[in-house]
Amino acid sequence: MSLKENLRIMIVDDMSVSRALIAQSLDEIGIKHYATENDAKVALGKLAANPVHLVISDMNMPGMTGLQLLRALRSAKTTQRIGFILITGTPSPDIVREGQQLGLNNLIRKPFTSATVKAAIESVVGKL
Amino acid sequence: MLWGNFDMTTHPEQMPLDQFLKGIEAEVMRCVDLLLRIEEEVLPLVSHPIAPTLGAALQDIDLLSQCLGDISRCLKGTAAAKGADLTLNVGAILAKIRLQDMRLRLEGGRHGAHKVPTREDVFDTQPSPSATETHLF
Repeated sequence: MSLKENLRIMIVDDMSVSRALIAQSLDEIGIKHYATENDAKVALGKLAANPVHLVISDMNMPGMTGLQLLRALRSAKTTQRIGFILITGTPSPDIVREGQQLGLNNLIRKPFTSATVKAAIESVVGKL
Repeated sequence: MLWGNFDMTTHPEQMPLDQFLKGIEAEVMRCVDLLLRIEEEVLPLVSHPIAPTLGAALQDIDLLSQCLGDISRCLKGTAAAKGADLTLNVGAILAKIRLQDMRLRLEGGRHGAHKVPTREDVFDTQPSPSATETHLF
């Protein structure tokens, strides 16, 4: 079974259209096992109970930002090794610096395409 | 009040700044709500795979709605800030607003100001031959 058939991903984004676009990119890439979540705090609970290989998360979300989600994942033993890709329209130096400190694996700039999503995932997990 | 093509509405000249800002904040949130509704309606109609330019445009709608949401929060904070109880001369400002409904809402509560918009406020739920939802989208 190929990597993309095994890979389990969670998409975290409060905006339904962004979630749908990321999901569509995963469909195009051929990734079959993914879940979507619109609330970062709920996502954190689900990931703690059932970790995935990779999280693709928006940065700006109410209640908990993408970087706060990353920090929470890195601080728990069961989730600290989950790959994490942040999506943002404004990758400021502060976001990049904090992301690097927290062990962010990659960053996708909006607007993204399926090709940029695939390239970002491959940089984390290897060739799909 | 409209008389011919001329708006004869008398605008209030004075208004507390915080009240005016709250009104603008409500209008901005109304725009956010509209954008999100449009986005939700358009997405299912888009054929897959989505062309990159259309995907970018849809993400721009997300970004625009988030920007407007932040502007709305700034306005709310400013309205609550010290000194926002100043009285503002709003007559000339209101006179420049072209959308009569918006102007009436900004003028104050007597016109149902700051009412949360419903779908019925924005889209006629009774399709007419000239404007069905299919035509709108």
